[in-house]
Amino acid sequence: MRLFKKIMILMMLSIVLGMTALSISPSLNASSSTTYTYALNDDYKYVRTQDAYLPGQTITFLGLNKPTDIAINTNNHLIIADSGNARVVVYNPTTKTIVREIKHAQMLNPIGVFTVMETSTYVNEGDIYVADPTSGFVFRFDQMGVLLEQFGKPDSIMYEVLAFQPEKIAVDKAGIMYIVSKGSSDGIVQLSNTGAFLGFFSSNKVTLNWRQQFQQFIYSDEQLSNLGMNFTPPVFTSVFIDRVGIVYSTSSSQRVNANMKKHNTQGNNMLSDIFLSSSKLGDVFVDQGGIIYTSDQTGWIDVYTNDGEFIYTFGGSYDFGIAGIFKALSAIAVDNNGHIWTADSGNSYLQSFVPTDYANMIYQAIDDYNETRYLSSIEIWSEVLKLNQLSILAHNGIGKNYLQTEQYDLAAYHFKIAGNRELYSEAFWELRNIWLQQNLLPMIGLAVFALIATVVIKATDRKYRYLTGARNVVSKIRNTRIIDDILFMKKVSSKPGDSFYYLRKNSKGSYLGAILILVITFLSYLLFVAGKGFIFQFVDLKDLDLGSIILGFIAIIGLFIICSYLVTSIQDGEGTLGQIFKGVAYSFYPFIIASISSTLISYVATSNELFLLNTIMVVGAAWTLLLIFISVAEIQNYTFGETIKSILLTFMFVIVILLVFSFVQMTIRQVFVFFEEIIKEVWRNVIG
Amino acid sequence: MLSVKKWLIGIALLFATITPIIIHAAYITTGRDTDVNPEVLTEIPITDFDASGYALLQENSVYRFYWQEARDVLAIYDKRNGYTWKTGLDVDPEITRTSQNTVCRNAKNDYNDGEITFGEFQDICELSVDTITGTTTGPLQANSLIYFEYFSKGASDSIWSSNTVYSSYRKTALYRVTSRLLKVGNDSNHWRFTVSASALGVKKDLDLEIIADLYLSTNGFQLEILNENLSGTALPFLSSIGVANYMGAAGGAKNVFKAIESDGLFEGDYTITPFQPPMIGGYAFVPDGPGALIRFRDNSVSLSRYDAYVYGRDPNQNEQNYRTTAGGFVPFKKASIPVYGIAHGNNQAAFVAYASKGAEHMQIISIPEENIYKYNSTHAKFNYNFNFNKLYTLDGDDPVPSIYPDINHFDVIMNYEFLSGDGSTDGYPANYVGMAKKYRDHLIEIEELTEKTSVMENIGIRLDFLMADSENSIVGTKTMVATRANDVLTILQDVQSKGITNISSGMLGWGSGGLTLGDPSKTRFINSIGSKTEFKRILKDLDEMGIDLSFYQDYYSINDMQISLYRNASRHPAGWYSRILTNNEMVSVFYYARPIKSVEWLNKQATTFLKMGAPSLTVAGMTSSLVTDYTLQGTSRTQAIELYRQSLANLSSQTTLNLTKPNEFLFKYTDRYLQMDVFTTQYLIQTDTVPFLQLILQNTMEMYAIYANFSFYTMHDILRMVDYNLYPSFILTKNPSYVLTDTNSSIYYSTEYELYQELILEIYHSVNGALKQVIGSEWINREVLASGVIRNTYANGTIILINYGDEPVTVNSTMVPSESYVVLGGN
Repeated sequence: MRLFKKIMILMMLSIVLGMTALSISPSLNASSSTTYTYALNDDYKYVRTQDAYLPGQTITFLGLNKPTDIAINTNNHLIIADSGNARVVVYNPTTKTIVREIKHAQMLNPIGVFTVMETSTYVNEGDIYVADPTSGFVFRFDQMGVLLEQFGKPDSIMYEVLAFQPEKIAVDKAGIMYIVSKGSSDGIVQLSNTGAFLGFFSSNKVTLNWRQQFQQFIYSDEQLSNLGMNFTPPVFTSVFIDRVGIVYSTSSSQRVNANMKKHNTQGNNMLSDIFLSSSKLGDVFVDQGGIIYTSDQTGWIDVYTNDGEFIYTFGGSYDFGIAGIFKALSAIAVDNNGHIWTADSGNSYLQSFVPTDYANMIYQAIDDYNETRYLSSIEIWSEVLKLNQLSILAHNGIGKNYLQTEQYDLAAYHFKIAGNRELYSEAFWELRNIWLQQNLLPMIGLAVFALIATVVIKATDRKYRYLTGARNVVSKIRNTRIIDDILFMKKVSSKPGDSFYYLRKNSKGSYLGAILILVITFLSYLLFVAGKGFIFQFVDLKDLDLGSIILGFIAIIGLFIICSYLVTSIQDGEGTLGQIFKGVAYSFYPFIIASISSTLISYVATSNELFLLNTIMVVGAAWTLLLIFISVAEIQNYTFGETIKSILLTFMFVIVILLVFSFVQMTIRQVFVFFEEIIKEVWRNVIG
Repeated sequence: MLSVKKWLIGIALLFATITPIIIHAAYITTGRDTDVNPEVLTEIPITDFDASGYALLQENSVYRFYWQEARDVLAIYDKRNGYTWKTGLDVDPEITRTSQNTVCRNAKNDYNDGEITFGEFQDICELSVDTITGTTTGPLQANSLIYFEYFSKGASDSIWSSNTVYSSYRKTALYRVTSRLLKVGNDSNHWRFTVSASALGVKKDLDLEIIADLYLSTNGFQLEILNENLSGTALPFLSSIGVANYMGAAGGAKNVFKAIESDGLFEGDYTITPFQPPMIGGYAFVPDGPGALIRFRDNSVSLSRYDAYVYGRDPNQNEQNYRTTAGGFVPFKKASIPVYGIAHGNNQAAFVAYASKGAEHMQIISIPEENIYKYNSTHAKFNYNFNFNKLYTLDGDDPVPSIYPDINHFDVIMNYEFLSGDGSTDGYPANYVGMAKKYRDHLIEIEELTEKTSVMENIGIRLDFLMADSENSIVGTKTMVATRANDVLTILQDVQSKGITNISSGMLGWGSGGLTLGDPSKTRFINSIGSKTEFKRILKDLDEMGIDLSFYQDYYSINDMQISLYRNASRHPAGWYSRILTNNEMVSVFYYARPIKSVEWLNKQATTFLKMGAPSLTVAGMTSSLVTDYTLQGTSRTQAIELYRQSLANLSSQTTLNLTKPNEFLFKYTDRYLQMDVFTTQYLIQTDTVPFLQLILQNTMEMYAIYANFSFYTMHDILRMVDYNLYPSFILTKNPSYVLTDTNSSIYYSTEYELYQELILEIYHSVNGALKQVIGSEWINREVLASGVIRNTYANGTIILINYGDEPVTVNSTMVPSESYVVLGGN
């Protein structure tokens, strides 16, 4: 999963960096959208989907200078932190007029704004809170723009040495202020309605990879500083409180999946292991339906369900001066009509986005599911699927509803398309359970019948010998030399000591048999790698590199055999190369059985039985390794200690040879590339 | 009776007699001959200049043309509306805030000393000084008829800087320029403007001369810069030539100097007040997609300019590196027509400017107020040379910035035609509709467009089919089939049985490898999609049903899994094949086919298709893009246009052509325009989207909108089709789209016919209800009656009222329901 996320980040970067106005793929969008909307596919890669939002109003005429935050009040008016002009602008987008300008002598650099949506004992609807890091104050205005209070640095011993530079603010019904202070890595500052310091609401953690942990362990502070290593927690970039009082925050850090948090009352994050695309989240907003919107500093707007499930993303960053592609996306808010409002502090304008039917349907379907209106949700998701048959979100959404309505076959169908193995497994478990309930008795009856029939047939055959012909045919086949040679591997696995002795003496087994066993081993391994049931088949066939698998298989076994021969030759081993080859090949029986049985079981097992598959494979592999060990001992006539030593030396030798090969290969490749490029260059410049 | 032999002898004698005359008439002189006398060039007599520095050049029934010699400004007085257009702002570069301040200060002292009266003080001091004069180049830029940019090599060989030289000269400039206007051959309709610049470059050792011919007429004026009229040592370094860059510019800010009389208590003084006059109403039209208006506005911040290369960016001239990365945004709309215009006021005065030569190197630039100066301006420039990163190493590292050793060789002809009033007298209102009509008439006049008398009863519909595409497989690639040949027949039969008869259709990915890996140089059919025999049968069956089915092929965008790049892909001057990196799967790197190959492949495939009985051809890629090829025997943009035109002219005479987003030079051969844009790129400075392109092309070809499948299916979008005169189109598959999930065609995420049956009928009938009334009738006017309320008027008397709004509106007693249209009058 993490790998996928890394791929996602790289993709995002590649999208953002080095762009061109040239196009090669067809531009399908006939809508007014200037950017594509991307959803995720089952590999956690972005894929295009129908436009979720279309650019609405582009407001360049308010004379804004570096707008940094937007809040929306109950009248659907935008409250804009116009930091460059040291004012807060209340703007009515319906009438396209400025309702009010709020200025104050001490308000020098309003960066963050928040407005109260509901009156309580402590706050009034329409109150505007403004965070100003330059003056170090939080200002509280009433809805007419009259200053009610201002809060400076908290007078607390705990806060004595810390700077108070409020950048973003959110306020709950109790008037408690949640403040992101500039550069503060201690967490979100929590102040009471009187401005008293209550503590840090939540803090980010430093996550170190193993290398950094090791460096931290052995290096001094000075050395760490010289290395440019920073162990201070990532800072918060924004904070928001939704209408039911849940606090959300965003951070800017490389630990991408923790950059957006939905906090419980203790400040802990309720969203765990969710997909987040950005390492530079700048703002967050949550609408009345619980849909979460984030903006990042690279111009992307992401939308998530209330559970943090990624829905889609759109936007982009470049200084083209084009609506919807931001120079510096600084803020996001959503009005009562569901229109997203954004501020671009680079080009100092506001841009709204209007949801399409596609987006509205998705929100409605999510809402219906949350409110247990499953049939309605299924209907809407079906409409969404018409608009995008590749939508993983829709397949997952519809599958979840079917799961709730106990239509497990349909749920499994959609989860399979969505690549959702976890929920598919759930649906499959139910389907298997139903099947077992329906067929258990007939199956038991069938088994009893088969048992009785076998006993009866055996008994009567003894008397009438009617199976003699069939037995002779089977016996004849089994006694065919090559079949017998292959089947000898069964014997090897059960009585390895004797069997390897026979192999060594050439009285059993053959080279052809050994080759065919290796072929069967490879095919069964390939079956295991590529042919498991959906729940356990994590790799797509198209992503498999057959050439590498074949080469790898041959190289590993071949190298082991050759190296083992070379090592044993100098260790007074008695076995020949051929004997070692046969010994290794005939050891693979347990592995073959394990691979085939695991593959077969994977079609009827669910995620809960993963341990069974793993156990089978581990036992099969371990048994095979044990047989190889015994084969070395028997064929070379080694003691236990000598065998251990020989095998360890063999592995070392394999590694050395691999290293040498890789150097040689690289050198040869360089030589080839050199001559190839010379020829190409001559071709280009002389022949054209 | 004379024998045949005698007749022949007689004819031979007669031929011998008149031959000298003919030879004399066709004699081509060389340096060893004496040629005819050069044209007579006459200076404007100094007495012709009035006090403001203007001299009358020519007067005809519509215009009076004046010339301001000191500032290189051509003024055009339109007698119809009394409006004067100027090719430049016509500001005095020597009067700046600083200089006027000095003048006022001295005058104030003189006044306070009693040497002059207050009236004299006022006369000397009171003035509004344009703020643009506060910089060295500002007034030159604003005045000059011509400017040019050239590359100058810096201290290091690898550093090139771009410098601009304006025809109007100021002593403080770093270079020297002389310019003059002379009458040619005593013809007051023909004038020659010569710009000579010297002391160019870092060493100040380069010079350049540009000769531009001005032709004055009752249509307006024409400016011609022939390739042969460019000369000088700086010529290889010439980057571009810009023309009349402040013509029609609006805005500006002033410093107002006002004298204050002494009152006994205080001495006389003066004030300087910054003043920005209200912006005049009006807009610039730019050909972004269907067309965009940029209204004149006072901006509070500096916004980016609109900057478009006509016929699209050239990956080998306009990209510095051989390799570019596609952005994650919707590609910018192209400027497919070489035209722009400016309107002042509402139906009062406007001009339309278009290139009749040199369009392939034309760039249209619109600069908003506050971008540099306080003016909104729009102009055209023509590109001659460019800088790029040359590769010398095998791995492509350490590219060296270079410029190409030779310039683009082409002639420039820019035409400026003026519109006046509401069009009631000449049919050309002074707005974007008038501009479109003027340009349309020009194209009809030069036979690039032909008005069609359509016999269709109903509008057409375009139903394309996505047949197959390739995805990676465990061994090589696998062709994923979404629609089989026979499915096409079944679906089209089904559509026709539901009452839609006028159907044209194209098949994407019809051959081996599907859409992405199908080799454009070959016609390889595979049974899993449809054999050649099967396609022949289907074409025949559909032809009998009156349905036009064709094979779609992109002849421009190629990839190395599809076809060998050697000799097929175009080269960047850097030396490598130019390419674009995308985020698509499974192929992510695409190259650009050489124009000569595009044409070769088209001709080859067309021969096969036509032999198979295809009633039309569907061509993409090369129709909307233009690339210079720097392979050894390269192809310039101009040559590429000729190649494309020759090929399509030939095919046009044999069959019907469906062209995807064709550029203007292919309009002549286009029967069906596919994938027509209805929205602009949406630069922040663009305020309106207008169907300028549709106004030009309506009734000369069938125009089909972009696929409705993808975010273009709402009522609002249907109204847009009705408004813009577009017919609907869809892309369909038989199987669900997810069979193509792992192919490059995953961008077609919703195509299954079963899902679209109803929508196809709904959209078609909605659009047909309005547009069938105007088939074959010219679209003569488009008016915005209120926000979201449009009135389109056609020559047959039909009026279509469109209401995009949420509320019903009443227009002249006709109620138009919300999100609906009403058709009035007509046949």
